[in-house]
Formats: sequence, C-alpha cells, structure tokens
Amino acid sequence: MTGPILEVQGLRSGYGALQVLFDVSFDVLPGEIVALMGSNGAGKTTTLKTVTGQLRVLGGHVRLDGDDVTGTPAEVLVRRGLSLVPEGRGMLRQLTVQQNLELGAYVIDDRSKVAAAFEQGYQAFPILYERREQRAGTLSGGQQQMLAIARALMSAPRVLLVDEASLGLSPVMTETAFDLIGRANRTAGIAVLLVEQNVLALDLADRAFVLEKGQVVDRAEGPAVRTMQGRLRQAYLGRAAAGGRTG
Amino acid sequence: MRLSLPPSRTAGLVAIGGVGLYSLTLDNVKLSILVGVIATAIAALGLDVLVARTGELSLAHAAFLGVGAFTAINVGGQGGPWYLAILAAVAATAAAATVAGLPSLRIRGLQIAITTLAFQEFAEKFLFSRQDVTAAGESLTRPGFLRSDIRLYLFAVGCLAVVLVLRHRLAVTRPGRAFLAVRDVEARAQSFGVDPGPSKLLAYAISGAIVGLAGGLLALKEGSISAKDPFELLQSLELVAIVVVGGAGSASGIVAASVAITGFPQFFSRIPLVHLRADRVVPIASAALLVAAIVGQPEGVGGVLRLLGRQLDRRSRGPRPPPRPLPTDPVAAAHRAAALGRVPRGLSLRLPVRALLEADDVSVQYGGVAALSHVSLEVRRGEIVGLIGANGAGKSTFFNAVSGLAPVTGSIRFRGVELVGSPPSRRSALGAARTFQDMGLVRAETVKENLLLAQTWLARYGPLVGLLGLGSTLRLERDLRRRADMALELFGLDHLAGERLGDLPYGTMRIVEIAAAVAAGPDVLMLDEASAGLGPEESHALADRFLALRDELGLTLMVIEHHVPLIARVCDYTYCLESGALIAEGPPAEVTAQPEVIASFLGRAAAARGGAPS
Repeated sequence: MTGPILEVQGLRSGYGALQVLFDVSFDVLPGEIVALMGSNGAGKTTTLKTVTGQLRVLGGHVRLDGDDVTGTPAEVLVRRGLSLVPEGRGMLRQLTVQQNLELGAYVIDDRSKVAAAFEQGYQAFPILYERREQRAGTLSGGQQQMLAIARALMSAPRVLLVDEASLGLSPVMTETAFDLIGRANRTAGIAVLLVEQNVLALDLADRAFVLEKGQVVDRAEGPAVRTMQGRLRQAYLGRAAAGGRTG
Repeated sequence: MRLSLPPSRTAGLVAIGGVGLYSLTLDNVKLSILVGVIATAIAALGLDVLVARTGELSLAHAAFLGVGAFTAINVGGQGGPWYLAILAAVAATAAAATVAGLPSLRIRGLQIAITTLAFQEFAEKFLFSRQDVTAAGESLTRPGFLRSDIRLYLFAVGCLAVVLVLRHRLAVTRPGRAFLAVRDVEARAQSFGVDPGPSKLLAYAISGAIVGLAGGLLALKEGSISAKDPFELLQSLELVAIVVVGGAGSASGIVAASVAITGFPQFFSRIPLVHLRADRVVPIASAALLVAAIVGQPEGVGGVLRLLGRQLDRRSRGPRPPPRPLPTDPVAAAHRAAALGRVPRGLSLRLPVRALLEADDVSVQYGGVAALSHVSLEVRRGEIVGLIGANGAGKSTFFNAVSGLAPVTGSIRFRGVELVGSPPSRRSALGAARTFQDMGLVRAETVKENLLLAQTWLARYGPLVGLLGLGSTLRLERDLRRRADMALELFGLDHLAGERLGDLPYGTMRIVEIAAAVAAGPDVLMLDEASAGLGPEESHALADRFLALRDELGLTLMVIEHHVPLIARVCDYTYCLESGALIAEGPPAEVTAQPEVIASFLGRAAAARGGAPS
C-alpha cells in the first residue's frame, strides 16, 4: 500500500491582505481521479496556485510522494512529476502548436522520450497534429483547451492538476476534454486532480471534495460520489429556484 | 470638526507640510537648486503620462525640455511678457511631441523608443546648434514679482501643483481612461468608442505640454541658456530612470525620485561625515538604486509608498468584501436602473425596422480559411437570441463582424443602418455593446473605472474642456458615475466597485464585463460566453438578470452560450453554427432536439440528460 502522491493539509493562503484559503485539505492517491468542486470565488484557482508555489503559503503543508514541497515553485514540481493545466489555458498565443508542446517537454532531456511524447500527444489529439504549424492564438477555445492538456502531458507527469477544463467549452467539447483526461488516467496511470464547478466532473471521479469559502466542507468516495453529484445538482437547483424570487 | 481622511492621506499631508516648511528655511542657492529639481520632476511627470498611461517609452524628453526652454527664451528675447513665453513653450513643445509621436500610429513599444531617439538626435545635433534657435545672447527677464529666489521657488511649486492637478484630471476623465484602454486592449477599446490613433497623439501632446512647462520654468530660472547647456540624450535617460525608480504612474514616487537623483548631488557637494564628493558618489549610488529598485520593488518608490499607505489604512478599514456578486432582486434592481436605457442618440436612427440587427449573406475569411460563410440571421427588438455551436464554429467571429473587428463581405444592418465599412468606434454610438471571451477590460484598474471606460462614447466633451473641468464636463462625469453605480447594483457588484478587476475570480470578472456593457446604454447587448466561469447557481441568477434587462429595460440581447439550461430558459430564438455556416434555427427546444445540433454541439450523453450538462 502506497501513500498519497499529493497530499494537501490545512492549507491557508491569499493575495496580500486578502486571505482566501482558510483550511484546505485533500489528497490524491496514485492512479486515481479526484474532483475538487467549488463555485466561482470558492478558492479553486487559489488552491492550485498555492500548491504550485505561485502564492505565498500562510500555513499548512503540501506533500508530493510524502516529501514536503510546501512553497516549492512550479518549475521544480514539474521535474518531480506534477503538471498543471492552468485556468484560461495559458497558451503562448504567438507560438505554434508544435512550439507550445515543445515547451511542455522542456524538462525532459532525453530526446527519444520527447519524440515519444509527441507521438503519443498527436495520436491522442489528431486535430493538434493537423494544426501543428498554426499559432496557438488562432485556435478555437476547444482546441486551445486540448492543447493545454496535451502540453501538460508532454512532461510525462505522474499527477496532473486541471483548472476548470470545461471553462468556455461547448457541452460536446466538455465531454471530449473529460474523455481525454480519463483516457490519460487509464492508459498512463496518471493521477488527476480535476478542479471544477461543472458537476459532470464527478462522472469521472473516484473521490471528491467540495470547497466553499476557502474550506473543504464535504467529501465523498466510491458510490457516494454519485450521491454527491445529485446532492450538488439539487443544491444548485434548489438555491437557483429560491434565487428566482430573490436573486 | 471630525477629520475623515484615511491615515495614509494624513501621513502624506504631514510629510508634504514638513518638507514645505523645511524648504522655506533654505538659503537662496539651495532654493535655486530646488527650482531646477522641480523642473526635472515636472518633466519626469510629463514623461510618465506617456509611460504609465500608454505604455510607450520616449527617449526624446530632454529634447522636448530644450524645445520648451529655447522657445520661452526666444519669446522673451523678442520682448514678449513672461506668461506669453511660458504659454509659447507649452504650445511649441506639445506640437513637437505630437510630431515625434506620429510613428506611434503604426508601431509600438521598442520601435517607438528608437524613433524618439531619432528626434532627440535631430534636436541635439541640428536644432540646438543653431544660434537662431537657441537665441544666444538673448534672455528672458523675470517679472518683478518673481525676482527673488523664494518667490521663484513658490512659483515652481505652484507649477508642480498645476501639473499634479492636471494628472489627476487626466485620470478621472475620458482621455486618460481612453489611454489605458488603448494600452491594454487596443482592439477592444474601439468597441467603447475610443479611436486609438487620435488618443495616442493626444497622449504625446499632453506629455509634451507638461515638459514644455518644465522648459519654460528652466528658462525663467536661468534667464538665458547657452548652447553648451545640455538637453542631451543622457538627460533623457535620466528622466526615464526617474520614472522607473519613482514608479510609473506614481506622482509622489516620481517627485521623490527626482529629489534623490538630481537634487542630492547638487545639494550636498560633500556628503557630511564621510567627506566623499557627492557628484562622484551619487551617479554610482543612483545606478545601484536603479537596479535595486527594479529588482526589489518593480513599482519603484511609488510602490513602496503605496504599500505603506495600504498598511496604514488597513487598520482603519474593515475586512474585505466577498469577491462574488451579491444576490439582489433583479426586477427591482432593473427598475432602479431604468435610467440606463435612456441614452440620447441621433434622431435619424429611429427607423421603424422590425429587426434591430440583420445580417445578410455575411462571410469572413481569415487567410484561406472561411471562418463564416454566407450567414444570414436577424435579431428582433426585445428578443433574447441565442447563438450556439461547437468551439470554433464561428460564433465569436460573427460578433467580431458586427463590431467591425473582422474583414466582412455581405451586409450587416443595425436599425436599418449599414454597418459594414463604418469604423468600430462609431458602432458603439449606434447602440451595440459587447463583451469578449477573454475580457476586453483593463485588469489593472478598479471595477468602477472599467465601467466608466465602457461609457467612453457617452462622455461627449473635448479633451481640453475635460482636463480643465469646464462646461458640462463635471455634470457628464457625474452622470457616468451614476450610471456605473446603477449597473453595478443591477448585477450585485456594488460592494466591489473599488476592487482591482484583476484581483477578482474569473466568473466575477466576466459579470463585471457584462455590467460594463450594460452601463454603455446599448440597444443590443452582445455577450460572448456569458456564463463562462459561473456555476449553475450563478448562471441561473445571471439568466434572471437577462430577463430583467429584456423586460424592464427593453434591451435586446444576443448571447453566445454553452450552458444549455440558460439558453432554454431565456432565449426567444436560437441559431446554431457549425464550421462557419448556420445549421439550425428556431425556438431553443426545437434547435437542441435536432440531430445535427446534438452531433456537433450537445453530444449524445448531454442530449440524453435532456440538455442539462451540469
């Protein structure tokens, strides 16, 4: 039995004087998909920024393979097998698809491994192969999201953090994105943390945590994830119906 | 009397008062040095208008300073009175800077810096070597009331105050906001009614006018300036260094940096205690300071001052508000915001047309790729029309075609008026406002500033009138502020008015952009991925607001949207695009049931769930 590949404990952080995370704890076991659900402003992106060392940690711990990596910058984490698909896709718009993917493989020194990563990437995302000479900025939203996922996979990560993969995607494209993430998980055994407000993410998840106002307020695993999905949907609909009268 | 100033302001006033009182105890030599320092500070503040507001760098500001000084002396030498000399210096320098700024209409950034370098060289090597330009042997006589050094010093302080007020006016009026929009979101600025070209030239003119005042002040101080006096490249670089060390955009930082960099070496020819020669030490020290400033605090002295101020104020301020929109009753809020819909437009536009927006055989080609082909659709007054389709189907391209940001063939009529061929900045005045998928607002500014920016086309006053606060400017600006407040309240954002836009969560930023578009008083509101970044609950609240906008404010909406429940709930009519062509249209329930739409947009699983993806 191995321990969690990524473990976050009692994380607190924020921007300057504004504290956003108060007590965030969750873990990701090797090879599983974990969903971290939360609405706009709950602290989802802040959590990922803190875990990847882009924000100052006010308290708590981040452990990768049991080693304390609290506050370790992203470029070190990526060498240790943790890769991030950032919110808004973070494309280098002026670079071509191919060049963006090359950057994703920046930390891999072995050329044959890079070539293999390209082959795998283009096989999984044929549209990217077609567009490989095109500038990333000219891709459609869905293609950019694919490129962001493909780029994160280029560094052959063992754990992949995905910030709102469904953002700005059509329903069918959202399904495609989740399918691709699920496939990467199944075929390469990559552990995935899906940070989402789209409850569809729970279709994929082995376990799930709910983030509210910078705290983890609920968790579920196994069949309970399905009931959580129903519960979240119900809660949204219930509040939305009430909101129909009061806002 | 109760003092209601925030602590940072109080501290600032005390500091200014202290320096002011101290300066009055100085001897004449030092006062005269201070006048020179103030002139440098004014020149740096002028350069900063360009750097901070337009993001462009000029290496010719020493040459501009020279143009100002020599113009003043020429006018003085011809027997002109001192005030005419100063006015002439301001006007001539503004003109010179505008000419030097012409290349900015075509190029940006580093290239601009190099073209200004050419102007600096031209002025240094040609203009300032001619005796008829430098007016050798002539002089500007100070008027009686400025004869004494202390009076000249007070006059210089007065000039500095005028420049500071002018900079403040720039920040709170149309031209200053337009500069920021051109800097950060040039293409999008046009959809607010900003014309980038004139806006850039105006920035150069204002920057030049301020530097001209500094030149005039120098001329008053010196009386005559020999050709050997420098207005050379090194001084241009020094001005740039002052802006960087002081912190672009921070007036207090720049004044402090001027004192440190140009004042100290003259003030203390020997540094007390260690007996080092200041003129040797200070260049080295300031070089070190420059590097340290950029590395340690990229926002310079101004950044440090801002941090201190924030820390002082934090104790007196409550906790920060939640960064999410607050729930409000949309119908009641829309009633309160009813005035948003009353926007004066030209009479000729009130044509009795059934469709507010008509697209007829519209095609857009990018390179060899057809992004839109032969799309014809119409949006009727008072309807909410959905535009759905796969990513890359051409939805945003259609919006770009309507707002003039894409090369179009075919015809797009708005209220019966042909749009194709008219410049983008005019279309907002016709009554079409829009949002962008990746945010068309200025993240570095506050929420409220952005709402004012979006109303640029409503601020119908000239730049000079605006800067001086004349005529109806103040009333118009008050109106814009009131409209901004109404729009913020309508979307439950009033508590976030003072927050920096970039600090808000993504979904909230998107709602701010919608509020900004509404504040612009459009007839048709075009929203690109309206609910992206919002969960089901907030999407539902947003849909309530759309209905309120239609029913209470009489707006027409066209919405690009991936969230099917939202479309089903609010849309009167829906179009679906696929690979640039329309594949379906009709009431939303019918469109989302069509097999082609399911295949390209919804996906079978989502369709099986009754079109409720989340």
